Amino acid sequence: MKEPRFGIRVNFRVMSMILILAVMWIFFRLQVGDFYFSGESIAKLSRDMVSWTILAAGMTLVIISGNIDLSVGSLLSVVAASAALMMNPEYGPGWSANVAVPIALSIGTALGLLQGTLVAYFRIPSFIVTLGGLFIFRGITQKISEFDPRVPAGNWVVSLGFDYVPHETAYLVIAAFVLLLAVVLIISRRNRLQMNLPSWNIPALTGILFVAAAVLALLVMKMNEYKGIPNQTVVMVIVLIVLHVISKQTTFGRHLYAIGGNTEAARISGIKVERKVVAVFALMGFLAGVAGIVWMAQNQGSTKNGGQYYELYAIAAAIIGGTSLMGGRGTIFGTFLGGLVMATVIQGMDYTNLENWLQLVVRGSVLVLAVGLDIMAKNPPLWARRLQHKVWKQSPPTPSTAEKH
Amino acid sequence: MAEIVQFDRVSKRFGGTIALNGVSFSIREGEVHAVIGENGAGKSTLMKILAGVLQKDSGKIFVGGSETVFRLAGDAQREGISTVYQEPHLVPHMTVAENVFLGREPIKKLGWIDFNTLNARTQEILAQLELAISPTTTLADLSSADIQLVQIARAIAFSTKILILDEPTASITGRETEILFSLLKKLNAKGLTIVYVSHRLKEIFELCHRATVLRDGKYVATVDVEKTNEREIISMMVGREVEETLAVPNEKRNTAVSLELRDISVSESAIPVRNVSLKVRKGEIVALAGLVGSGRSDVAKAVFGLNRISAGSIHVHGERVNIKSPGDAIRRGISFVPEDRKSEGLIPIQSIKHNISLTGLKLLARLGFINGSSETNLARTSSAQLSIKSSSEEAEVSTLSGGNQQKVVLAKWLWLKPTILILDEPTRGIDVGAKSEIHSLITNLAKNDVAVLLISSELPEVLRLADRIYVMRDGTITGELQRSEASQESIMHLAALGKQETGGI
Repeated sequence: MKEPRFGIRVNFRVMSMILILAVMWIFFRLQVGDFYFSGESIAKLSRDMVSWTILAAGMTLVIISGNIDLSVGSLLSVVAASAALMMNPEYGPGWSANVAVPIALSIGTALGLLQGTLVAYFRIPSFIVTLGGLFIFRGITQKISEFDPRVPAGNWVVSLGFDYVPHETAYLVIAAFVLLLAVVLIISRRNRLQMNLPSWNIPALTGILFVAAAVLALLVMKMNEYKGIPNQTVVMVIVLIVLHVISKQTTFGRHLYAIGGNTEAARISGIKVERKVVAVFALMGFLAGVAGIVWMAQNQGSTKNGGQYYELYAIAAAIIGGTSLMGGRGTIFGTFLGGLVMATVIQGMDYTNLENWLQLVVRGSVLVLAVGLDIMAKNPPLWARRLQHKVWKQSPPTPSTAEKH
Repeated sequence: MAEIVQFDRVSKRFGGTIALNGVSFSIREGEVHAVIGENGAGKSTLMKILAGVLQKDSGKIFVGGSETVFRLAGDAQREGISTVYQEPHLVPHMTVAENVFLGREPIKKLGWIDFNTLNARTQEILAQLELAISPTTTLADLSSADIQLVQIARAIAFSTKILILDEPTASITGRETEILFSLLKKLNAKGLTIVYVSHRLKEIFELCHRATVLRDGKYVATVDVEKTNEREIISMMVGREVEETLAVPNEKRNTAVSLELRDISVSESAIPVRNVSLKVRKGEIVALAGLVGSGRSDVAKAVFGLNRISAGSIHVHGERVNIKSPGDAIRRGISFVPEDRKSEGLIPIQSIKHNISLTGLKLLARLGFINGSSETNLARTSSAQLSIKSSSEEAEVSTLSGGNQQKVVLAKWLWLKPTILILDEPTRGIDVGAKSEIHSLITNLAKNDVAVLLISSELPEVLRLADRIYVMRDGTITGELQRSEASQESIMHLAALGKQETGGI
């Protein structure tokens, strides 16, 4: 049985994804040339994944709770379109972003809340509710976005889509981040030692912090060679960190895992299952709103078909990252890696000028391969076990119950 | 008698755990052979290897004299080995006949299923077994005992020589067990070899010729059932002499009433509950006995806020309370160990730690943030107190044996320090050792002033632990017995017929 050291589980999926990423990076580097590892390429990679990785992070929590949200792409576009319309002086009232953005985010949250209520209190399966939502919200977007409203320039929202973090600020931010990490680790170490639990020793702790600081500094340096860290990347990183903490460290997050793992046991353990389900859909709605605002900023306005298929990218990223569609399993870090895999494939193919139809074929194949190989490695189907037996002439290993994921 | 199955130094490990360690023994043709041992002893693993579901790491298995390697369940079936598992492996929405022939349906031209032959042949098989079950009934409409019988019908329908039964009586009542046993005896008389895996010693003495005892993955002994007794077998299973601690009479008549139900009715539960009144005093163990389906669990679920009461009132420590949800019940100091640990008690895919802390995460958190070290600490202390055997508190609960899983369920409710504890079948399907540990735990809790309401189908357990016994039948209480006047007979009388045996109170 694999035992996590001090609560950090190095799981098979994470390792295999890092391997897949490394292989793809090397492959594209050979195909594309020097440009591939340039600051510009890295900055753009991190930028292009933002909107659907934010969706994927929320989706991870929804799937962990044993549900699914197919409406997030349409939800994103509703928020983007209504924000754009509110800010547009020609077709809308021309409000400032300070007014329009909070209202648009509330719209996203409210729609998520509504869907969650239908799922939790009316017992309509989330697949049905959100499949309906996918169509309904798309329809509403088409009406709101009738004239494809643009967002007037010079707005802080637009800078979210186009500007970069100033070079010095970026270093300050990572310094602050590493400091925060240090404080968290030290407090956790002190608490564990107080209760006689094993914990990191000081050299290991320093090592971790040093490596984290070095990797981050290197990334920033690289991106600063170009224009710096894109603002939207920062939004994504904040969302990912917040959701990671929610999922691992809060009672709410733990309740979601419990509900997805076994709803009846969760209910008997005193968890208000319905409320949590409503809350996770509302959170998803809010995050779809955040992704919508970022998307709108990127596009300086909205279109009728904005965010189409994003629900599928989000689900794909979560699943590649190890989230179980059965509920109860999944991590935000895994989803981040899943998003990175997707982004790498998409961007890499753009650089290699692969035809559009083929790009879709490759995207789909990567999804099936990445998830399929992982599942097959853990729990080989019968024919694979037989084949293995024939090839190796020995008793094939059986999946041990201890290593189910 | 010829030896039909021989195990020769069979070993199997799961990761770091050795499940079987060089087990050798043999099963004779035409006997009923019991394989017994505590949970985690390796019985089920060994049977799964024999059935081809798992593969051994080393050693040999001989069936009918020749060495065999089963890689798939189908391989074993072709050799005439069929297994009936504890949980039904059947399709609930299909008919009995469709289930019996599942995967081997008789086929007409063009691949249509020949339903006439299907039903007729099932009828024949059922008639042979003298079972009064219609082939066209949907499986979901049958009782769990009948489903068990259909599984046996399916297992022996196709030239089976060896039938493996893995705890077939875990979810059926005493009477149904009798029917099952008479069927098994008939089949055995016709020459079928039966391998019977069970915890229940009584059944082994009733049914089996020989018994093999396993302990911690090792072979201990094979004994002739006629030449041994329960005490000897238990000591072989546990590896030490177990003292049948007779509970000390602990009649607490004058302490304060912790939990009182006054005339409650529940209409929305699976089995409607009518006019139930009962009292549990501080430090008292009160049993709620009755047959499966008499409404015992439904009473417990109403107290715990899982069902709303439609009439009557619930009083906790003398105060009338309105419990709307399990959360309310927990806040009132009530803990509830549900009947089915897999579907209600635990989150099997999560760690011991996360399962234990789930009931009171708020107590471990500040502003919604969980204190990880307190949580780990809680899991470790609880595991130590209840002697939960695992590699660490991070181990997934589904990898534990039944007894250890049940201890995790107890741990998750006991750390809340309840004043009222409701236990629904706390020792179902667990081994002798864990059972006696849980029994002494319950007695100790009562000594420490916890009011215990114990629901159990096992009359010896009820008689051993309870200070007072209420008996239920058809959703209502048919009688109350003091410890002094209770016996298996008097309880069964109330449970089955609904009246006192003799005058009584």
